[in-house]
Amino acid sequence: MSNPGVLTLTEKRIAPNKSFRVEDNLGESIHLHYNDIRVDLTIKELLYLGKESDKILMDRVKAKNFRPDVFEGNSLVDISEYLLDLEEVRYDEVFLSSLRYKGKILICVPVWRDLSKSNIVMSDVKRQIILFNDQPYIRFGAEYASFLYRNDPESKIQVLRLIFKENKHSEDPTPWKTFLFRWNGKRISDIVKSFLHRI
Amino acid sequence: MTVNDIIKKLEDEGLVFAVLDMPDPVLRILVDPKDRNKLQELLGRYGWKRTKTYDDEKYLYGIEHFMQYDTNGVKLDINFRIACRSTLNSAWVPLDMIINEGALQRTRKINEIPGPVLSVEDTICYLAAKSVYTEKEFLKPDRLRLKKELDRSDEQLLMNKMKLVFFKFSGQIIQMMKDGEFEDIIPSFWKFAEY
Repeated sequence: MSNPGVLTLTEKRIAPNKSFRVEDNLGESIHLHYNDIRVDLTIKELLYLGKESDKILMDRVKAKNFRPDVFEGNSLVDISEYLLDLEEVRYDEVFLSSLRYKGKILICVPVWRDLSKSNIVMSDVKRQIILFNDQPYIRFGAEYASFLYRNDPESKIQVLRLIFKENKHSEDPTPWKTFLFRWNGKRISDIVKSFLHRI
Repeated sequence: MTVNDIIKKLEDEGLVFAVLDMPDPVLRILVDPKDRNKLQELLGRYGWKRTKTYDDEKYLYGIEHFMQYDTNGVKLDINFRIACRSTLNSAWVPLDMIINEGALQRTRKINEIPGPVLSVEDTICYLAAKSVYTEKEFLKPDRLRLKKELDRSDEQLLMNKMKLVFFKFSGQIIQMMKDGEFEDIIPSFWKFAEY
């Protein structure tokens, strides 16, 4: 049966070939897709499932200021894998010019860049901008941040700052070093071995 | 080339088809995908040129791509499945197999339209799906046709077919069309939550 009216309510890729998706099949039912499994729900059942999931999250995530409804749109789905390490949720006001997004130089070398150099696809769809720990790196919502920067680079915006236990999930400020080392790892170890051998 | 001329040529050729609708200057027909080669040979013989319409469209469930030919006046729109636009990327999606299978064997003739047309219930499903999903409004010619066809329809048969397209909204959409509340159908559909 093909329903022409299908709206994807949320989607999360869990692994390269595994994803979780919630679809509203208009007039028919709500489908939860997880890999090859499909669960059909009514709207009432979906709302009930949502409420129960909120209760479970509140019970499991013992972080200061954490409430599932703090997260707008799909943000909660985006950060779901980090939730158990969460210590505190903070609203913070920051200058857009102080933020960095993960870009690339020389095609594939990752670097943190300021928004004036943004070449990512901008989006005017409002999204929550999320930072981790005390870092200025945008972890989610970089497209919307770029859009805001383009409109007014001097402005301040409200971001959601997630503080994790023991500063977990912080990003490397120089990802290019890790990248180059990993990329050249074998070559570097060969050189070191060859050097040691000569001594 | 007029609509009547084109229909006569298609009938003379022995092609199995049905007229879906005729929004000026388009004549939209449904053709059995098995007759694709026969049809293309006919179109080539008359020298009708294929337009770019439908070339960049997306199609779901492996349906054959639609085609449009300019017959020096009327644009002949060729569909190989009764379909409408999906909410997913506006791709063309076929209506349920039960509606599509045998649709060309259930055709009939009516005074308003030259050539064979779909059965009453298939026509209502097609026009309702087209209005809600493809056009996103009930155009005046479609409203007039829907009113006429609803008077001719078998209630149970119609309900069974509409359930394949509008599911639990079927009862409400049929009633709203009968009551002529076309303006309110789409907003009511988007707000509908009884499923």
